Amino acid sequence: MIHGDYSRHTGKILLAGLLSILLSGCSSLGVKPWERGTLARPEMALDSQPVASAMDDHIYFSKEASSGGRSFGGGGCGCN
Amino acid sequence: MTVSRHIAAILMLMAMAGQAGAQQQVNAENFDLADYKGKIVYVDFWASWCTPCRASFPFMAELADTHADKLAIVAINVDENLADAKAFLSDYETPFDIVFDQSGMLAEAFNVPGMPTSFLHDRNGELIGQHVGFRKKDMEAIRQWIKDNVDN
Repeated sequence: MIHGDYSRHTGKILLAGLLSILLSGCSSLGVKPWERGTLARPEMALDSQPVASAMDDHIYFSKEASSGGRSFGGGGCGCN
Repeated sequence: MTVSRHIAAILMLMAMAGQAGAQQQVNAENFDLADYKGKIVYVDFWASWCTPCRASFPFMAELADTHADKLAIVAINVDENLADAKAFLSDYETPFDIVFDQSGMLAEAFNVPGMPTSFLHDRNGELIGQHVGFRKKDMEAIRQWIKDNVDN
């Protein structure tokens, strides 16, 4: 009986512990505003070479007669 | 001979005068807001990678000239790499104090919400308010904000 109580108690503590880890696990993530130096580097941009990617887009458009799906508007109607 | 000695003496005097008027550059550990007691203090957090900060430097130089005796400007740099900050500084006139906060301890203490952010303190070091970001259209408002507090 005592043993059963004990294990139920431990289970609760374990559950509470797990929950608190789950809830607080991501709270300290993220970069502070003054720590964005590395993120601000040009090579960290999503599109670090806009001219090159525009050319790639152009080639893709010419070959496939479709556009869009990358970073500019327009569907695949081939009408632009 | 005498002429060159005269020139040397003049140059030395000029260097000394320059040093007397020079603003100090210190590390974060040596920065204390209490040192500026008696003046309105404009604390600005900046970094070399922060584009709006470039626009704010000539503006702060102008503020420093306008309110020379009543306003202290402290520009706190948060670059992790000191060389980046020095390279940035070589592009501008800085008639105000510079603090290097590589570890971010002052940024943490001030809880800087964005880059750049400026904090205005009264003559007793109490925080008056803060301004986040720096845009050309903000300049007039900041100028007036500081003028109001300096003249107060």
